[in-house]
Amino acid sequence: MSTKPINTKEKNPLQKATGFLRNNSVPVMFILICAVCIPISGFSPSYLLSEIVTRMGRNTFLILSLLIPIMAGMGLNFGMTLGAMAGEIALIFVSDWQIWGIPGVILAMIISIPFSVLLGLLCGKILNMAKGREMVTSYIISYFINGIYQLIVLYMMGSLIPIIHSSIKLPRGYGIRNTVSLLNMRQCIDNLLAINIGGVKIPMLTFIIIAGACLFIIWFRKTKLGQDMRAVGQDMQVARDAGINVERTRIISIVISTVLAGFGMILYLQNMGNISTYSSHSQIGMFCIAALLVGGASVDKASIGNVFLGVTLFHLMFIVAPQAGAKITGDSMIGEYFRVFVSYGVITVALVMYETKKRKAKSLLGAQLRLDQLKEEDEVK
Amino acid sequence: MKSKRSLLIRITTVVVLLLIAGAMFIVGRGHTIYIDNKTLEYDGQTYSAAHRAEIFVNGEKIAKLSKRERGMATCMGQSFTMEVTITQDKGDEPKTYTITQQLPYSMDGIVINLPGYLAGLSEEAYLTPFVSMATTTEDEEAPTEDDLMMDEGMGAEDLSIPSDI
Amino acid sequence: MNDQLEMNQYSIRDRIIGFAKNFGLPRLIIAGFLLLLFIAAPLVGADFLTQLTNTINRFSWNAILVLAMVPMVHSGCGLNFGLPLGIISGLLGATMSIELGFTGGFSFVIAILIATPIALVLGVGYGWLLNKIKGGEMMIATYVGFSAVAFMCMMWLLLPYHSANMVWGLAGKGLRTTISLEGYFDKVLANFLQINIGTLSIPVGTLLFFALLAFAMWAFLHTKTGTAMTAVGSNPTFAKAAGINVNKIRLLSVVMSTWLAAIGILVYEQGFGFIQLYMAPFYMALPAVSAILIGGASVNKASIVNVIIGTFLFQGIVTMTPTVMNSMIHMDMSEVIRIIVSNGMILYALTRKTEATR
Repeated sequence: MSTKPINTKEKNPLQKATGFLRNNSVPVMFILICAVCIPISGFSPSYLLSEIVTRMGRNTFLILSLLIPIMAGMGLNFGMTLGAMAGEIALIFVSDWQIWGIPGVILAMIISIPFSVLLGLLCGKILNMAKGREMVTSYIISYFINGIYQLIVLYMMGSLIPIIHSSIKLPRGYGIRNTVSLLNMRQCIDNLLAINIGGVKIPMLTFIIIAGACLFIIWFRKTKLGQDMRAVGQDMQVARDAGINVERTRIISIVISTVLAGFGMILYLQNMGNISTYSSHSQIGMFCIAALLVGGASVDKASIGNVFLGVTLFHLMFIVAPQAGAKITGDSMIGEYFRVFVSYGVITVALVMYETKKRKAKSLLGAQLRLDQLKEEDEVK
Repeated sequence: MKSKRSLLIRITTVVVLLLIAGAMFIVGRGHTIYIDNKTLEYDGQTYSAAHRAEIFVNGEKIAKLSKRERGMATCMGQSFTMEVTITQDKGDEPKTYTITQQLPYSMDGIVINLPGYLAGLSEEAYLTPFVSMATTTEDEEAPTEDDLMMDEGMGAEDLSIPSDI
Repeated sequence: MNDQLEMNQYSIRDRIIGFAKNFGLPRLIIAGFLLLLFIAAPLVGADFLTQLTNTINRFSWNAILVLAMVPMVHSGCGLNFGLPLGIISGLLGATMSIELGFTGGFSFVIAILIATPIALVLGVGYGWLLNKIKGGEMMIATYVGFSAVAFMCMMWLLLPYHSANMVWGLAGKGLRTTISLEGYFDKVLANFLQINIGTLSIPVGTLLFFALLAFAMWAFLHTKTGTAMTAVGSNPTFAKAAGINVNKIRLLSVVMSTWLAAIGILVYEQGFGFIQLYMAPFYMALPAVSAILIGGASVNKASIVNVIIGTFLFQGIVTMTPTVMNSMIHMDMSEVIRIIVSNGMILYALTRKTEATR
């Protein structure tokens, strides 16, 4: 409202350009990084393309799971790790029951749902108790649940929860091994309907599933619940006055996100072909969030376009950085650290930008209120 | 009315999901099938191995077995079909059989003795569970402190850098 | 006076319930758990005094890192998840002191001298950033810490260190992941005035050092600036109206916290005997945060007593669980318990209604 006059003002091209740059600083910065690193790394375009297509198929679904909580104004859902853990537990069971191939993936997805819903409910409940600092809380929840996950997987599986095959059990008789092989369902979804264009394998079915998820999100935005969520995201108090059950809406958004994250993790792992039982999920939240932010999303606004741009740019950087780092400094570790640094850096920058923007809006609102008050006082006089 | 309808939808969804899950259990159960071309002694009778046996699954040749050899195939679901071309003795005319075998759900690895099957013996005679010999030699340590986050004294979580995502 | 009168009107039962409520159920459980561990230790054959020695030792290593939480909590900046920033200053101080060729106890002094200006500069920058994003401190602090650690990972490889005790032997450059402090400041404080009674040994020097800093902190909080800091934390609007420069006070608290973290990691290293670089500082904030919370602090209230109780409880659990658990059920679940306890505690503090106003 108060920013309207600025928007309607005539802008010269230079102002427009700087405005565009300011709003999209992160993607632009990434395009620059990639533009510098790609020639140095010396990878061929076809190699890069096929790598990116693979990684897009692998990660996009996971990143899509972040969109709905952002819509509900709950910020970046660091608790998506919970869904990832649910997916892993489901996959461990399925691989123990020896269900192979696509049926195995489907079964794992179905099994992951109750776990995800349960964890999502828990996460949503806790986040409702910590309104205003959802992000840091969801971040700590992911660590907390990781502890519980380890308790279950490392101590209860095989002792309390029956695990049949010794190939996935630790030699001591209980607990799951560090890696669980998914050889029998490795890339089963990627390979079905895959087409080959110029040496680049395009996993059509995976992309169809991702498209389905995108359609679901677009459709969901238009439902009553989706509209409610947006209202809650804009202003909780107003939404409550309008008769929306704010707490319930927020919990549902987290539950949906967690369930989607669980599916995403299963897709991700069927591509990888094995589960690193104790570390697969630990960094996934961070990388997904970084990728989304690289695509130009912010803490309170993210679109499907951001997801795809983010996956492409972030993973391009991820592929070329180690090689480029090695070429420049002669040490391959530099590049590895560099990409970790960039991932964290991007999140930091995005968070800072969001908070400063929020503060500015708040102070503008404050000034507006003060003005209104003065006016009212004048009128009373 | 509305809540009744949504309840109905929910129950239907859950039931459908459970049905799909159940179907996946049956359809997706994977078995590894080992086909033995070995002389079988059963009930005092001897069923001698074929000179040569060629095994096709879905039109694809998966093994060519001489005497005392073992072929391997994987199969999803509880029914396994293969085509076997048998040359009983050297110089014999090869004969082709189509074999369809129902697989017991609980067995991961299944050994089928070919001579026994062809002689039309009962299932318990030619079908045995596969027992792996190599599983005990492998030892993997329990996850170390590094895997489980935490360094000395402080609570540091997973310190490694993921090299690929 | 009024409080006292009111207190007397309550029955003892109410007071106990009130105390439990105030103290918090999770804290009660943790304290009870530790007590149980101490009782169980002799029963399962673990030497009580050795256990106590270990706990006290760990306490002496970690206490200052926990103390570093206090100023930022007081000024309303929340829990300092950005502790790694200060830790990095300390690490830079330690490595530079060794690089410059100082040995023995003197290298510790030099490490502090070098770490101090670095911590001040980083602290000012960090404080300036936190002033720009009031309200979202904790999340951003976490990621500032992470970014700094990842950045320093590159720097440890690139900075021109040459000391043979620190760099990789083959390449001749790039610092090792762990550097032994033998011959440098290994246990300089711990060995000072150390008391040994049988299996019990108390690192008096380290404890005294902590006591000194803790006392200084306590004294500071009672100066004019210190009370202003508390005022800023409890009611920023009021503080502003009273003519306190809120941003300046907050900046001061962040700088203090960063500096204490730098000193804290140096003390930790002298006790532990090694410098840990690269990803090691990554998650050092979480145990410190949960320790002070276990001690009874909240997101916007913390005292020196909280630090002492919290560190003792947390480190007690850390040292006791492996031994006791192992001999009781032959399962080393201590890691998992540690993760659940520490993060559960932080979660509990973050979700408190009364404290969630900020």
